[in-house]
Amino acid sequence: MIGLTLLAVALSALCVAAGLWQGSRTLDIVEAERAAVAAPLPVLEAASVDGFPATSVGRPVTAEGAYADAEQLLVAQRSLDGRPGEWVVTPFVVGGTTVAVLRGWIDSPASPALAVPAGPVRLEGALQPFEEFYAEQARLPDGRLVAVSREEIERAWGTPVVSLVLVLARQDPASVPAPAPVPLTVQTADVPFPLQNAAYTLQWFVFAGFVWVMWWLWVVRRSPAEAGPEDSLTG
Amino acid sequence: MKGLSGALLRFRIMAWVTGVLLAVMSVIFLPLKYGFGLTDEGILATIYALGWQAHGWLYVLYVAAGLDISFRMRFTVVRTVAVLLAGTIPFASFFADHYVARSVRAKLDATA
Repeated sequence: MIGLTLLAVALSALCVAAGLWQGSRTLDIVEAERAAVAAPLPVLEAASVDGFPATSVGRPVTAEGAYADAEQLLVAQRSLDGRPGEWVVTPFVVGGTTVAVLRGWIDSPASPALAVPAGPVRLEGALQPFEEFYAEQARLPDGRLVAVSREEIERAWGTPVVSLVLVLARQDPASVPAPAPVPLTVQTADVPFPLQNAAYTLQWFVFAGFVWVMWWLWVVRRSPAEAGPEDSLTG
Repeated sequence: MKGLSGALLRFRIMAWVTGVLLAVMSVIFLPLKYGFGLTDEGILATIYALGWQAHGWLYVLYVAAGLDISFRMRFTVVRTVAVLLAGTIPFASFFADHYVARSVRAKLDATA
């Protein structure tokens, strides 16, 4: 009886240890997946003109190329920290493909930060979806956009663009002055959760419980009945 | 003896369900994964992950049913543990099912 109790202690401890191990594996997998998603990727590997995988939304990317000559677009009525202003969307060409780069926020259409740097530059930023609200709205009479609309931007530039917007965080060489970086509206899509490992974690804890059910059935309930009629436990 | 045949039926169902699923997972899906890498993405990846998750929870039920029948049959601890572990080895649960069913029938016949 003491032997069985010791066995139950050892077995349930093993089950709990295995459960904790599966639990830490679950967290490790999530962490590794998050690290993989947080590492910057060349923009054309994360998204193309034809589409993008769901994991690319919010993904940090790099882009090496040059700003194009096509018209730089302003998005009307965008405030930053309560100050009224506009967003600046500039065409950027990477290996022949045009990317819409949201360079940032300016306080007036006359801002010197609007100047587009010439020559090759390297961009770092994150990918965000184009805006859907008012996306079909035509440009204002003064030429400003109502929304970061893929349709309107492609019409203005006369070329298809990559299916996600690059929201600029860093530019090398930097522009001085530069539009103020805007915060991301859509955060990184979270990585898939390893349900299988999480389920195994729970199951190990359930098995630890079963060990004590067994202990209770065999040690506590059965012992006094050993001398009694056989079916006293099931009758 | 009341409830013994019900307990046996529950155990047999669980032994077959977990046994068949485990056999399918290990005979078909493990080679697909480790031999051909076919479960890395797409519909097969989903089926593979769901299959093992289902097996995990079904095995929990198998253990519950196995504990129940083993206790009712007054199996020793070693026999009980053998019956429970059989659910983790491919095809072993069919033998466990056969053994338990035979023991129950013998016991029922003896007391009839």
